[in-house]
Amino acid sequence: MRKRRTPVFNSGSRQALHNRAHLGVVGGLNENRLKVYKGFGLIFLIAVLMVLPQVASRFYVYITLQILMLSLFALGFNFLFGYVGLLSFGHAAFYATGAYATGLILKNASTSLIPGVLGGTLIATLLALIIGFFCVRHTDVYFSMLTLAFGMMIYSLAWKWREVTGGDDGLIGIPRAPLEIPGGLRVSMRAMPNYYYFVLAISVLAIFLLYTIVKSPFGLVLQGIRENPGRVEFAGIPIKRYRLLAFVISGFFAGLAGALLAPLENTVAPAVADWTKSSEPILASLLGGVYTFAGPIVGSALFILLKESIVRRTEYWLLVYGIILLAILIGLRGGIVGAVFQRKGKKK
Amino acid sequence: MTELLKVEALKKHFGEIYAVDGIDLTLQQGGFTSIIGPNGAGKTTFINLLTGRLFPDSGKIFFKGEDITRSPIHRRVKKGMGRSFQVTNILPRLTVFENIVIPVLSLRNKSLDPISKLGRLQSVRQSAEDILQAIGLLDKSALPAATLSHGDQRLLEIGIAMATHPTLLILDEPTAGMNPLERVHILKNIKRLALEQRTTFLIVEHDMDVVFSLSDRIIVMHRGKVLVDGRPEEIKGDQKVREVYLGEALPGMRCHGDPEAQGPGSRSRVPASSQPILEVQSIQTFYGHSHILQGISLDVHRGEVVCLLGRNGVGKTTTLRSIMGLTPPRSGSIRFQGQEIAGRKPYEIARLGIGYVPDDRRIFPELTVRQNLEMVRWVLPSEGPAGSSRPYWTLSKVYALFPKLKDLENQKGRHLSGGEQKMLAIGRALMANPDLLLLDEPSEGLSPLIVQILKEAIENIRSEGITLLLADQNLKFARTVADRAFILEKGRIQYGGSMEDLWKEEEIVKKYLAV
Repeated sequence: MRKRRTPVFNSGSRQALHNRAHLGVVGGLNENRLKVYKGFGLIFLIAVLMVLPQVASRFYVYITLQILMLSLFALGFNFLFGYVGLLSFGHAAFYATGAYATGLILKNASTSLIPGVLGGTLIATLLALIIGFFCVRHTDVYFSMLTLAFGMMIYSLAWKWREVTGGDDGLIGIPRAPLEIPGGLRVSMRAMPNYYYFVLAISVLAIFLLYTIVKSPFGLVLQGIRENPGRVEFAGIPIKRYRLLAFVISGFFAGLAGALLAPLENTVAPAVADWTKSSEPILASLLGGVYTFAGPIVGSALFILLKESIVRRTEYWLLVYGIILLAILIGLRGGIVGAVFQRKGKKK
Repeated sequence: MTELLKVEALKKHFGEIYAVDGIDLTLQQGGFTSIIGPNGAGKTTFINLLTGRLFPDSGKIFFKGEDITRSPIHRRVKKGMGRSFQVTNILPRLTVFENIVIPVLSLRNKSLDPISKLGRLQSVRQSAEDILQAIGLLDKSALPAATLSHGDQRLLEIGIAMATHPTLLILDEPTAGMNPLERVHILKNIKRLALEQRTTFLIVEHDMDVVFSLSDRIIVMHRGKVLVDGRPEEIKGDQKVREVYLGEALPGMRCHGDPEAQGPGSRSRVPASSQPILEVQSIQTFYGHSHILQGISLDVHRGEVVCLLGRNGVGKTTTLRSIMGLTPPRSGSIRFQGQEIAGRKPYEIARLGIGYVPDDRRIFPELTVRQNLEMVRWVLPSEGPAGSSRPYWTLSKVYALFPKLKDLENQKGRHLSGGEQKMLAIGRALMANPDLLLLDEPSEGLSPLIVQILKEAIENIRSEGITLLLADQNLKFARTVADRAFILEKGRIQYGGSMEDLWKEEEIVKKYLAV
């Protein structure tokens, strides 16, 4: 009867909801057709990615690698933001931990790629468990500030703990160790295309894994927590425990992205832990659309392609880049993927 | 019958006020129990204690024989306790089906499953669809919850609570803010659920039709305690209950006809003129999909004190908020001193000379009493428009009206008691030199002493030439301060007339205001 009953949505997004409703109800046919389109699109995309090293230059392979890694990073970030409603400003902590830990393992402990990448990812995941334990007690801006603070802690560790991280020189001379599969198979990763295929395979697997989680009962409950944590608690769900689990999963993907970076670059510098690094998955997710699964991937591609094409043309690239990002963010509030699907809903 | 819920000497205080002040209660399995009582009686706090949203200061709660006093919410839910909320509390961007399926997953311990496809879990799906069938929303299961009408959202609200298959289902004002049609719809559903399921219902409700048509047992709460507990017939005839709902018989309260009532500052000082200061014509106001005001027309004359009466949820607050521009009406006209103000911004309306004291007071908690009052001077011109008949309110004048505020001058707003905050809110509104003052629930939740102070203050304010429009549930309080009254029911004016006439109309009082 009072101020508390203000409508949840303004009319604009209510319209969007109607569109989504439309999309869902319009009968199986259109929805199925959409599924088929999506399936073909996916197969086509993977095919293009498969043949890329054969037809494109080293430079484009390198760019695509960057897109793949940012995609994993952004997907991990957005699992927490888009699905659970927790905005982290410190995900570079896990990215950097994945990168440093993998670098250290490959330099000192392992002569094989997989133990390095896996070990680095697991250490980053463990860190996410520790940091998450403190952060999920809070929500909203308090959560964000806590993650920022932890992120800066990791940054100063990377900067100051010279004996381990190499300080401002960074960790140098990380070998791109060969891939060793039990049974004696040994694939050298020296050539960029080989490493590219390794990253592509890991990315496809990881993205499929995340997609499965998102579409599972657990994924739905997380979305419920995003929508209304108080209510989901009254459905019998211990929400803090669920948030922590989501945080750990999110940290796993960010760590994996970092772990893949170390062997590619052969060096890891403290900049990978900087808060500006934490902003990259945020921007990529917002560009692509936070309430869609594919949004962060599309956003990552756009983020990196835009950057590369502007950097080449002007020294004031940050200015131009900023203006373009602003225009997209303000113009397409649901992100690119969100906008595409809304448009489709309207047409039908 | 077995004992389902047992509450022993439960207490919870907020600041100085004991919201729940020693409740002992036993609920048997089965049946339909209602909790009623005036605003601020502690009903929602009591429910929050039962369901684990709040922990009590002292006392114990046993559910199915186990001490759950400090158990977390999710454990109580798993044990068979469900609740719905007074304010619709759904998952807006998820579909209706997803809203229902989350509690079903939780109930079946499937909520942590990270690999199954939701569509493949046949039994979960079936269980959710059964609930949707029961609340009549099956055909809307693919719609996002936010697109439902308010009534359907209320149904969904109850459906989510049902979906955990609770043994004890606690509903907090299930019909709040619904129109009569939606009300009938939801009642039919609750009744059917009560009959079909072996669920024990405990509801908090302000709609007496609902309470008396459904309950086996009614508990009347008042000031954090159980006032009366009995069968509906017993409650209907109970004198104490009548008093609580009609307003308390306060010792020393002056009434019309009392010789005392003609003291200084009495209403005879400034005779009401025949010139209307405020004319409201058939305004329609909505909250989202809810049609709250369905054509309200009323007038207030210069120098009058007019009171809006009616139970909770009939549109009193919304009427004041519509006048103030906080929830502008969709149609209709509001004229203030001959000028159309419908659709104007709240700050413009305030500058034209309307003051507003919301029921929750809205004190600036981190500012001192003095700063709260002076704040008005920083944003408004220090004097009324030239030629204005407004009196000029100053700090000392406000302190003269409420001497207590002078003593508390340097206290922070949040340290004041409810009654002191109310005085401060009124003082703050006066500092803007209003011609018309809107007071929402001035007597709500106040101790008899403060009500007395408030009553005198209202008469003093009126003697300064300020017109007052109040909204209150307390008829006795209204009777001692107001000249005229309008009675609202379900968003419409049902009666308008002088206070003396109203007091004689026992039928109307009974129908719209009494239990």
